[in-house]
Amino acid sequence: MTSQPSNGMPDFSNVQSGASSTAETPQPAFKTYTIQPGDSLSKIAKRELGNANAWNLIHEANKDEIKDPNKIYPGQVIKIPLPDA
Amino acid sequence: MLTPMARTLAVLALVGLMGAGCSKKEEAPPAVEPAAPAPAPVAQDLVNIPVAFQTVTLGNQIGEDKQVAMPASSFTSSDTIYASVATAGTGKAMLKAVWTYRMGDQVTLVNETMQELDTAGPATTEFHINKPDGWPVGQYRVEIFMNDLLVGSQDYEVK
Repeated sequence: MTSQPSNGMPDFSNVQSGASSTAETPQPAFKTYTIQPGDSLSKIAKRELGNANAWNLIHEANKDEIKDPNKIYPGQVIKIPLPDA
Repeated sequence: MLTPMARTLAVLALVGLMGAGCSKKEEAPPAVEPAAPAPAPVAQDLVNIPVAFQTVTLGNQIGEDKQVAMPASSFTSSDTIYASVATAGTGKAMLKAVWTYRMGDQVTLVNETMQELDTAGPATTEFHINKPDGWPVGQYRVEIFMNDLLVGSQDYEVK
């Protein structure tokens, strides 16, 4: 069952992704995420990584963008580190 | 008996011969073992070629080598979709796969995933996406960016 957002386009918010390479990968693959109203790092971690306690992984990957993990803003684009494939 | 003039000429000729002998010695091969040849310039150039995009191939399975087993441009709703990206050259690069859904003029972002590489030669990098509740039927595209420059794309559909 695929939900339809108000603009008539399908909802892809639950898409899962990953990446891997035969080359060396200095850091894990990551996806981008645009913070929505009502989000917190733990909510994002629960939804994107399946574990609310993994919020610190997201914080660690976005130290330049997020100084205080309790202060995030709708519209901010952050990196979500992805588990190895 | 040689006249003084003839004696002088004979001495000069002898000195000349000795000199020629010395010169020949100086021109003799310098070493028993030949010097090792310098590295071929072409090989040196290959080492320094920066990472460059070659191809992107779609499929619903990949092997250990990260390459798509059977290239495809049409998928089912339950497929995991792989984009296998071949690169050449060495060094660091940031690869990005941007997956979009397209309906008429409307385009919606499906997913955007990035992978940094530090490679010593040709490499294959795979990006994959899946949707637990199934892909909507329709037209899609994956675009591959290298260091934020669009380098390749593939259209595909879900039936």
